[in-house]
Amino acid sequence: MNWSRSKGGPGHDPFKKRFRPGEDLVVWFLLAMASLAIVVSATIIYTLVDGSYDFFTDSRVNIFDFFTGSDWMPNGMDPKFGILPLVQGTILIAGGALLIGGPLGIAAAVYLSEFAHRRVRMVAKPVLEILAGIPSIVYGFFALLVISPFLREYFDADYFNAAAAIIVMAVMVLPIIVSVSDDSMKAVPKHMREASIAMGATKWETATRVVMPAASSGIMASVLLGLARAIGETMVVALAAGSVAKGGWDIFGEHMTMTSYIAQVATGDIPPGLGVQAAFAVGLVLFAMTYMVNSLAARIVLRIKMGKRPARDNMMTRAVNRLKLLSRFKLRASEFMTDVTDRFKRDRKEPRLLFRHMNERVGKVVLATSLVLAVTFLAFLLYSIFTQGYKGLSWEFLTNPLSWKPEKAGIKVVIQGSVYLVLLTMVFTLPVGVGAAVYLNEFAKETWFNVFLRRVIQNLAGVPSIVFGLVGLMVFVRTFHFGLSLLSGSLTLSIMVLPVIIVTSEEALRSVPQTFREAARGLGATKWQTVWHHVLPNAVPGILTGTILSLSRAIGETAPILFIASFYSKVAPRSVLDGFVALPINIFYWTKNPSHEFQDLAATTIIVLLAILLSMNALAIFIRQRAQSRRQW
Amino acid sequence: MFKNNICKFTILPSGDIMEGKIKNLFVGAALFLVLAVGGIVAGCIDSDEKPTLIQTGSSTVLPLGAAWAEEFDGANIQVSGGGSSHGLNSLLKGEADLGDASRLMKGSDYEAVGGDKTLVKSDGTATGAAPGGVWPYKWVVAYDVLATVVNNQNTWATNLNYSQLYKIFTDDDPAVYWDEVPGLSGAPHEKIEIYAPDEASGTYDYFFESIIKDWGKATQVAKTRLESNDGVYHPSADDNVILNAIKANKYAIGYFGFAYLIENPGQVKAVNIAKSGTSYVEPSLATVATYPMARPLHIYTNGLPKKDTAKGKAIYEYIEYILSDEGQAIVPEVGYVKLALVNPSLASDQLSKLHSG
Repeated sequence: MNWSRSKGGPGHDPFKKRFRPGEDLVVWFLLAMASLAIVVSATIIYTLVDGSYDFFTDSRVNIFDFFTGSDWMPNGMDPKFGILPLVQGTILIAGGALLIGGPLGIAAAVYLSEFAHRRVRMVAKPVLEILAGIPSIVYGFFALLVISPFLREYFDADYFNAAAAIIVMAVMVLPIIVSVSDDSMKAVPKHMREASIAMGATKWETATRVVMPAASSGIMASVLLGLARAIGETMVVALAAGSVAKGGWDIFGEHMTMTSYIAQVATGDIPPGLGVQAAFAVGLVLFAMTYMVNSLAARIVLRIKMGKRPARDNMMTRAVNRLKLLSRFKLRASEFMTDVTDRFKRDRKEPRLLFRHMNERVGKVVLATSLVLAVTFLAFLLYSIFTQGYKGLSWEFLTNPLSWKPEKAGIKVVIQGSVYLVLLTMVFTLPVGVGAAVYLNEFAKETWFNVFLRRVIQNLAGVPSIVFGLVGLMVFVRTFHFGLSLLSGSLTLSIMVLPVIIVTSEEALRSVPQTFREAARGLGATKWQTVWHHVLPNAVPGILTGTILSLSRAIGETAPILFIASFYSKVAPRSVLDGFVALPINIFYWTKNPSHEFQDLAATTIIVLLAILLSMNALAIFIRQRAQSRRQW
Repeated sequence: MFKNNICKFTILPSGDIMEGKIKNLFVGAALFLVLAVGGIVAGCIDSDEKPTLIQTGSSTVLPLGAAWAEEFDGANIQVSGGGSSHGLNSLLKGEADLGDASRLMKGSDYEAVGGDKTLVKSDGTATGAAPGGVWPYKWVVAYDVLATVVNNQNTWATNLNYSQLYKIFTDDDPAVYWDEVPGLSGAPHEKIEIYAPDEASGTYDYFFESIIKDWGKATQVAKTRLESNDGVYHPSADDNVILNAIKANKYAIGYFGFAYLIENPGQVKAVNIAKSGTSYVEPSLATVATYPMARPLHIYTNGLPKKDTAKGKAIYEYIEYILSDEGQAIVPEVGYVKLALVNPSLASDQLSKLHSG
């Protein structure tokens, strides 16, 4: 019974393998939890392929025309399914967003990494985090009701137009571009900067000609990650960009993207039939596109992390060559300048240096401007939502049930729906996510299977949220017959946040010093005892923080539950099989409502949603701070 | 037992502290869960024991359904959209208690659940149950009326019949200038501009279903000008955009729900419509019975509701409420037309059927 005592007494052979019955079972159990990620991925692919198969085998559909056709008319007597207009809309909007957000993000990252004072970082980082944490439905509201009227007024844009979506999405991709670029530039060894400065380059020249080229692959990866995010974004385009798939490149006209088509199907705007089936084929193409972009980015990031290429020496030689080139260029420039200055009979060196320093100053201003823009945008967004919504904020609004009359409408039921949804999601994901993380971080060896598992989890995190919506509909609502219920909704959200919870829990486990494990093992604890009694307890604050943060993402997600949530419900769900209404969904319907009273209520609901997010984040920060202050290591 | 053991093995100095910490955190987590569960339980206690009904289907009926569901006290009704076919499909599969439809049930709805399509008659009722045992019963609950509108300065197109609308709105030899539309006296040689709902809207479907023969079938005779993409048809999902565009453009024409016209009186001119010839009817509450572009909205239930179960009783009372004066009073507020304006006895006929069981 008590193996460890009877065999572990003094004089016992210390090299004999310690064994407790059931420990293997626990590990297998954890492995099973981690493998759920593979099951989820396989289900996603199966659902999309199965739905697409039904679509492509229909007599009215020709797979060749699907990929090459330029007419998208899913309704009517003679439906046409040529995906090109949707792809074009996606490329126009995502590409446009990248064209603005990319340079802005890189500039901000260079500034933060190379020039910014610590205090500037202290302001900029939270601003970027807030921008990243604002749910996309809020950006959609902002695009349709704030940016779009402006564009209509001054650029004669259509009511729905691509430009509003592009502008807002440019800001949405900023945080990821800045943080990944910033990280990769910070990873450039310090001595390269020192060498550059020592050779007489200014800080500006060091940043742009030494650090940026050395970090170029990381910067590239950041842009790719931003692109994947923009391609997969649903709510902004569904609200602001319109529903006409006519193609063309007119940024002030209406465009439909792949994601907004699926969203249209989700809200029932496409009559059942072939048009709905087409959503799976579109989803498959969308999935494939984001998968490719994401895995390309992941490969680059992995390469940087592993330090395989650009190897340090390699990086060094390249930098030295670049500096040589630079100095040669400078030499030539100085010769030229000598000519010029001789002609003007002026001092030789001063203007050159002056020029270079001016360059630095101007450059710094340009870089800093990008940050200022981001901060201004955030301020403007919050300001316009607050001014539109604060009037509606009252106790009645928070405690009244939903209503078709704006003056009577309240969001009590909606808040309850969202809270239940997220609590259920936590109940589902927390054990599985932590179990998977424990397996991956504590027990997994570098076998092909575990490498594969990690890749699957990483890829799962990059799947567009609307695709989860399609999968949730087919699997939980239809196959499992859970119906349009709280259970279906929370399971759909669960499979979406699972990879995030796994990754953050793993980070928390990794932050527990290795010496703890060694000490416990050295004293004879088994692996599982070590994990259960020493690693997990110390990782709990980190796990909780990560979980709360991912749940705060889940509560703002609209696209995955667009298929499942109800339009109206009188009371909060009383069982997990009841239907539900949720905050982001309600914001979506009220924003779409042509009546201004409802649009104002949407703004008020956004204020409530943001307040909930803020308090969740504050709780996470509080837990982290408390844990850090009590930490003994 | 193990635990004691481990404590002996654990001689890390911070051991006790860590144990304390685990306790703290677990207590915290437990507290959180208790609060959460408590919240749910409190939610349960605070709500009553009314049955839950699921109503789903046509997005045209959706706002009306939500309004009725709110005002009706006998049940907790979940309302969602998804389209008429989705509504009928859910009802036939037994997933929904009430199926909203802005069209009549068709044989294809039975086929979709593996049923015999010949059981469905052309009036949208069925002579037998579908495979799952559901036998849909049709209730007409309100009318949706569509208004065709032009600019207030338009003096030439105040009366239009279906063939003129066909000439203006479809790709079958479409009129580019107003004077190309046959039968309009004094029409200027100015380009026609169309501002109207987009393909995603039910109004669009309804409009073209009226003017294009065999709309949605393989034999459909023409396409819409939005589909032919000749730049004349400016689609929008927002009625307000359509209204403003027509208000601003003397040569514009468009259409939207009649209720929106009532909400914005005097801003644009409503066109009198005739199915054929010149028997034009003005869209108004008084003339809705003879106005051609008016369609009934339906709710389907599983058979005639019976009061023998709690759920059946709730459905019975809900339908009774919808057909009552009180329920009908909401209809114009949401933007549709009351049954009584089209057919004074329609509500009472259906009520007596309900009561006869």
